[in-house]
Amino acid sequence: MQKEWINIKETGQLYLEKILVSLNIPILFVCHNSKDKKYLCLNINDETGETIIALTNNSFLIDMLQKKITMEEVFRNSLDNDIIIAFYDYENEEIISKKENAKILSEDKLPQKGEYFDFYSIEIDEYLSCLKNTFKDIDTFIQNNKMIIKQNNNLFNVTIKDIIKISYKKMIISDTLKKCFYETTDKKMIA
Amino acid sequence: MFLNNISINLEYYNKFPIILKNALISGTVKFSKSLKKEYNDLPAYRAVKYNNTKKEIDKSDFLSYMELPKNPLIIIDENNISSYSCSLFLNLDELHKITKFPTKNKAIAKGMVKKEFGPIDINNNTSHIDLFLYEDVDPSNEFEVIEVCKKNG
Repeated sequence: MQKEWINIKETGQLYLEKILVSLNIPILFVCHNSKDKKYLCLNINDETGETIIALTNNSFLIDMLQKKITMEEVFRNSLDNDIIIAFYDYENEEIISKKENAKILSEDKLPQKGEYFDFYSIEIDEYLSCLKNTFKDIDTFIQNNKMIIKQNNNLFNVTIKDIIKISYKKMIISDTLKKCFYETTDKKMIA
Repeated sequence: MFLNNISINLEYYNKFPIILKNALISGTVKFSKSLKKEYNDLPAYRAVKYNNTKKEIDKSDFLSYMELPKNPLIIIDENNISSYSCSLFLNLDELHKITKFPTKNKAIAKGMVKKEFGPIDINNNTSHIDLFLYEDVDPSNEFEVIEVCKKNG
């Protein structure tokens, strides 16, 4: 059973997916909503519960956990360019949330610039493997000198930003962005 | 001495704050086998509240999350014994890993953890200590602020 977290207008109900860093309470963690959109969340105030929430995807999470990008970069590169800031109003017993531009959000609210994820455990390794397995749901092959990317069953959480990082042999999808199209009838992308 | 080797009974549970005592009695949580009741004084570090209006350490700096007002944004696992503890680190570098994140209104305090405060459970990989304070124990006089967190915000 999924553990429910908060329900805010910007995301709908959020479910706790994985705690990445905790100190008796989760500090850095991943949530998803009912549409399987993923969010990286950071508790920045353990009194008000103030938390920043950034829309992300498996690709960014994998890169962060593998120290290819910093934690701050995942927030700055939020997929919708926004960061949700939520905190609890004890007086009125309600959660207040608002959006801010991820690129100009005060650095006081973000992990230290240049810092990579440095919290490893067996659980984190397992989560990383789980994230990587998402890409096994995509078939990539070459046909008539064209690269075909076709989704299999039960494909979740894969966005264009995930897909453009996929490579087949020496060809990388992101290099072919201007030359690809999507066949809706057969649910495949041809590059 | 490991606590599981001695008699654990209601009298012992009564030494703890009521929220932990009740959770232990009901079986919601139980102490780890690695819990230590007898130990030598240990120098340790803890993040404490620190801002323009609060610069002194007091007993409230040592409450567990279970003892704080409920906040739906703060995820607390009431089935996890650590939620009932006061967190400290033996190694300052390990605490600094956490302070790379924004830590509003926080400073780092250094002090001595004593067996009179309560039993401890140490994670040897991270040097993290779960300290289960006995009821009415106030360790604040043993601690002093040594640095304000860089990302105090």
